[in-house]
Amino acid sequence: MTDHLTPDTSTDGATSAAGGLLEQAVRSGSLAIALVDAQGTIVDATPAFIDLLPPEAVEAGGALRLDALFSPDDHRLAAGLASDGAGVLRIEHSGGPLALSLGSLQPVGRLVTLMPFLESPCIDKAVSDPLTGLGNRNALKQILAQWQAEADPEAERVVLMIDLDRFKQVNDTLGHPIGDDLLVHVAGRLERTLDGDGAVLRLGGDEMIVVYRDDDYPRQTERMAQAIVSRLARTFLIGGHQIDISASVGIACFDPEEGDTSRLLMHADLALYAAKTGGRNQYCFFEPHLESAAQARRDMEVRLRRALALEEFQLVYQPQISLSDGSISGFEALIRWVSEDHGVVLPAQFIGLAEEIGEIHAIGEWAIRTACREAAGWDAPYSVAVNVSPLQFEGGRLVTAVASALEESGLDPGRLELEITEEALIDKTREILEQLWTLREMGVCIAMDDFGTGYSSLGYLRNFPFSRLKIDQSFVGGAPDERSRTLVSAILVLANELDMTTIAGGVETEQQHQILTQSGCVRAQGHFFAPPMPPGAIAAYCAGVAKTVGAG
Amino acid sequence: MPERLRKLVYLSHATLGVEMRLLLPEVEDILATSRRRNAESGVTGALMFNHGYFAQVLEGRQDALEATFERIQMDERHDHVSILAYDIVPRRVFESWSMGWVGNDDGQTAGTFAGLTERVDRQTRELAGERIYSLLCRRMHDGGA
Repeated sequence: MTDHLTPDTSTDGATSAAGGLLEQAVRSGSLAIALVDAQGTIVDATPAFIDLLPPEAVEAGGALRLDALFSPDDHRLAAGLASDGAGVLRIEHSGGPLALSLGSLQPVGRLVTLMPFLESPCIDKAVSDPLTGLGNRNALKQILAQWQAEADPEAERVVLMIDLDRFKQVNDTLGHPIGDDLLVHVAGRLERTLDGDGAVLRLGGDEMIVVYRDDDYPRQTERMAQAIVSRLARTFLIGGHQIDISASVGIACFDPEEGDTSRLLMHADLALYAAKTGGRNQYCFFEPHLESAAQARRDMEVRLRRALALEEFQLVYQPQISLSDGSISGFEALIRWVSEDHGVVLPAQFIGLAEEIGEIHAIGEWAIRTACREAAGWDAPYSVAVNVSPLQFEGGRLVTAVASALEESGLDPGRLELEITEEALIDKTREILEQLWTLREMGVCIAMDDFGTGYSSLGYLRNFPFSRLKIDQSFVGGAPDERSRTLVSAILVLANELDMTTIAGGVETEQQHQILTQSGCVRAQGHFFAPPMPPGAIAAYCAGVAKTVGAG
Repeated sequence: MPERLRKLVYLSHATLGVEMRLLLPEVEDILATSRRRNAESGVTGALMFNHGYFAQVLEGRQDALEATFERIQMDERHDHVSILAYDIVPRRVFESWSMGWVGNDDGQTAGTFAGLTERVDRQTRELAGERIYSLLCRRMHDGGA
């Protein structure tokens, strides 16, 4: 650096104009540069250099000396000045260690620069990841500690957290060696994108982060994030395979007031989560509302994990009516979470979370066991329908859970009906069909729920003999229109031909009731007949219906 | 496995300016860099280009080809790289690396690369296979995606 500055402006007329520009740039720039005489007295210096001198030395007035930067017992400066050559000294400074570079002695004196002292990038196992050669979590700690130690009002210091959207599939289908190779390629692309202007680190798995300084925030960061997303979306050729992945990026800025760097990573992580849930292959900046939403979700997760043990779940039962005579033919069990903080929570608000955190297995088993036990106590052998989440088929526990629920309760298996959605059959169809066949052989009825939405694939109907088809309430609810009626009729014909009985959900009006009856639908449920009721209300309800039916 | 001979065919959108004044030096630079690097790594093949597209057919050992491709992918002078073929081949078709101008939008430029273009056409047809070759030519000539 000093060598470039030494060709001086006075001796060469041809370069003096350029030299003037250089001097101007040096003076107004942020580099800490000074000219000192042979004894180390500062002859001239940039403001950035003066700022790094101890305030007391500046305030004292008089000649400023370089040794103000050194402790009195440090003799390295004197040794450096005694030699005509150049050298670099590491000095301790209130803002963190500095590298003082002492230029060789020229006729006008020596140039001295001050810069943050950077550890030499030797491959240190403690701070680098052996696979990619990138810095690891320890390296990140060092960088963050450095950020905390030094104020930098000129720029934002930014963390970009990167997650590969389909890395797991690559590992699963092509094997870990290819997955590892992919990580090396990703690391290479990130380093190339960053171009030496910061650091790429690997925290573990496919989690990589980029840390750097943006003096044009957020524009530079946006460009960087966009470049990362688009470059990682480009095809890789690895080990003879064509690999296409994409990346999500979460961005957070270091806040010197915060004092806690773990929050910085948490913010980046929340932004990453938002990028992923927003559809992947994109970047997202951290915003405070992400934190409150995550907090609320976490609170709910914690409460949901306790809910079973605290006996906060209840089943309510909605009657299913036989359309031929208005009699009760069964009940659908619906789960309610009565939470101390949230009151009654409907399944739509917590089943998704339960599936995500794996609680669905325990909650689903509880529902089956409870429904069987309560139904076994009813006065008449009504059927009881229980909803099953597609996730409950994972791990093969469902069949065992159903068997033990039937055994404990003594319920006739033919009275239990499991409602599954078409969604359950989309993936791993074969495994799930095997379980469905086992359940059917046990005597349990299997109904297809919400038929008519989603794919409504007839292939599923061919692959498994469902005992009942439940027509989605979107075809039934609202004002009946011609198209919905036609579709309902078609579904009923289809079900009839395939030997499946039918039920329509969401019946709210007499008109809907009439239409379904005329179309030949077998059963129906909805508020028109009765809302879901607690188990204790069932006996009275049944008695009431029996009276009406009997009278009619 | 890394000793395996493969061929790679891709088509990409050029992000270079359409002005010849700007395009030619870039293309010359690509040509010079590719000649040197491909000679070092034993990659042969052909680059075809016009104002809007690059199409490249490459053959070489798998690891050399993949390293070359990774460099190509990071080149900002093009984007939307679509791979049309990446297959194991029994032998090389190209003895060296060459490039040609494809497209009828500039007679003078086409003339500059005429000799190369002819050879590129012949060998590319053999290496890429008739279907991909005619696809490449159609795309390059029409400039259409």
